[in-house]
Amino acid sequence: MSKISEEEIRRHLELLSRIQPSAQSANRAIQRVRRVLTEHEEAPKRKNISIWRIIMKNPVVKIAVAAAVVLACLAGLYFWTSTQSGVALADVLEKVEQMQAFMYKMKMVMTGAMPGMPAGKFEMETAVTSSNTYGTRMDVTMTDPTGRRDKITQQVYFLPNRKVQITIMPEQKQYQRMELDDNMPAKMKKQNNDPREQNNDPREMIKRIMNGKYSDMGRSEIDGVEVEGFRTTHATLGAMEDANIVLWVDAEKRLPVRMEIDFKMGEQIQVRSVIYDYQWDISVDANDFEPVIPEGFTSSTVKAPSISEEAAIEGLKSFADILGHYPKKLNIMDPSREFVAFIQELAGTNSTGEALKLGEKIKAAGLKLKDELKELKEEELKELAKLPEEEKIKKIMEKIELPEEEKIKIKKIMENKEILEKIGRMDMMRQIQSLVMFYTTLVQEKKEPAYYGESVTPADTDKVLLRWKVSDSEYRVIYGDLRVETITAEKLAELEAALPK
Amino acid sequence: MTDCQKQLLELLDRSGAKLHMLLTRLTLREDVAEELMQELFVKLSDVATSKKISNWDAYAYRAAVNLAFDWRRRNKQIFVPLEAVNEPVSDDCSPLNVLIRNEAVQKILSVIGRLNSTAREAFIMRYIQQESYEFIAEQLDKTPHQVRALCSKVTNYLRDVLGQSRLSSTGKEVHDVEN
Repeated sequence: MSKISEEEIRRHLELLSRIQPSAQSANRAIQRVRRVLTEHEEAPKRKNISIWRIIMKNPVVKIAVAAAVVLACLAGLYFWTSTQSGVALADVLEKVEQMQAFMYKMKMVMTGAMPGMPAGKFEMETAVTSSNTYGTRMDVTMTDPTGRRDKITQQVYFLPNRKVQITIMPEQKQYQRMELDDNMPAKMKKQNNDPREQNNDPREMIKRIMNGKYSDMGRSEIDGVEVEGFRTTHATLGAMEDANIVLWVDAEKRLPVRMEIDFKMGEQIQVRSVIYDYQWDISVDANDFEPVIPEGFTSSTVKAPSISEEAAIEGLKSFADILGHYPKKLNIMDPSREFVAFIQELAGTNSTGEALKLGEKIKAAGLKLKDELKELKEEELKELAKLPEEEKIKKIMEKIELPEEEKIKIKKIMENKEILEKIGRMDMMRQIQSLVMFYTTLVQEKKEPAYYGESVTPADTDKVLLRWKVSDSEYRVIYGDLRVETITAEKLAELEAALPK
Repeated sequence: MTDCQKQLLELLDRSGAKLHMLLTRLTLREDVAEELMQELFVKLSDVATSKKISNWDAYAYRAAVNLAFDWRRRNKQIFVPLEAVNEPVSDDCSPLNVLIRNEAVQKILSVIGRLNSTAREAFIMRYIQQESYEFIAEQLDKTPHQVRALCSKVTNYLRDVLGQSRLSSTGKEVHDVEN
């Protein structure tokens, strides 16, 4: 085959050079920038905010929303394939699978010590609309983990056909676009060629995950409807440990009426969720799933966590780079908890709410300081610049009028500014999520994963950090130095025998 | 309003449309170009406070090219257009949608993304923005002759790499075409 000729290249470039954005798009872009430039605070303030960006990306909200998504997946479920009772769950599954769209509500209460927060209760209510054609929309109202407001709301649009998830945050006047990694649908496609798999269809997902033991709880009544209950304690979803799920099905219509789910996330968080008010086979159209972004909202784009060996290694590397060791465990909660605890240590506070308040004070103090520095003569500024970092911070702190206790905390943050900013740039939460999701997938795919983060460190170049089965006789191994290798089961047995007990 | 804000608003009035057009041509996505446009000016406002920039247009142009190729690198597998969040950008036969599906164009942009920054900027200014050699030379602080030679080298490089990639799937490593 011949090479692309120069003429062909020029022709394609000419095509590119003729592209004109639509007038609406150009106008929108320019107006957006104009608003940002005229309405936003001036640049120096952003410097201080950047230190806080990592803390303000509240992990509790992220984890809660992630848990809600898992529960949303459960909500349409049919995991049992047969029953001896009057209601055949296989029939229920068949009926539910015929539904093109449905709605339900969900209440979730998380109790325990969440990353970045003192022990307490976090509540969330969600109204979910799910469509085979368009995707899923979730209207979420939840406790504000920072305690600044009574409640915060989010609208989450999961639009797999567009490979995007859009989250609108009205209180912050922001929206976030998460571009979904191509690996996700590809991975699911590999497992099953059903196109609904690519859309992460909850019913299919749950059917795959939960097939097994259950018990019939007999008949009861909910809101005047005769129902039959089923219970399972054998759910093995990545986020859920010790899950106890009860499903109530309309005995006549053979459709779910209510679901109660209790499970643990990590060792310290208990989750109780009730899914109710199902409305089956509703009529929806594309507009129901079209995010409406109010005028003036600012946007951000983030990349979705990726489920791949490479992303998992990247997550391990970044974690070790920052904390000096690997996560002790790879369940959904513990790596985030370790990371947040480390950040809090650097920031000198164990409360996200306090961190935010301190952040605002730093901003205010920074502005005041800026004005004061303007008053200094050039020679004085030069002298200040020459001082060692510690002295410089001390001098600057003298100029800020704040209670001594807060000054100590702010000083600590300023001392750790460099590493905090580095962490902020690294998007650590996404990397941790990628790592955890990879491990969770290995568990779900029954690939016999084993992780030794409690005993293996980056210095243990030849020790097995993570392994999983790739064939009847071979295992994939990530070593302490993050090398990757496929080895025989015999070799793995030797290596694992040498690990510290 | 601060001096910095004034400067950036002037830049927006003077070159905003052109920068947005450049971002659209390099990303082939109007919605992304809008996002990047905002990101660009936020970055510029950060820079404005810490650096003295003598040629804002050239600086903004360079930053826009970098942002666009950073986005392309992050999204290298996404060739299918995402409809704009606010409204559909165009019908299926629009030049933009035609180009998104044009594999050769995507490859050309991908190879351009691997060039060193001066070569990349010169080439984009010349062949995608259709600027004169004299104008480019002024922006890059080079002579028109140097710019012409640089663009010619890039064209040859593109032809070599894209020709090879048709023969086999392995890409050629990035060359320093500036020398």
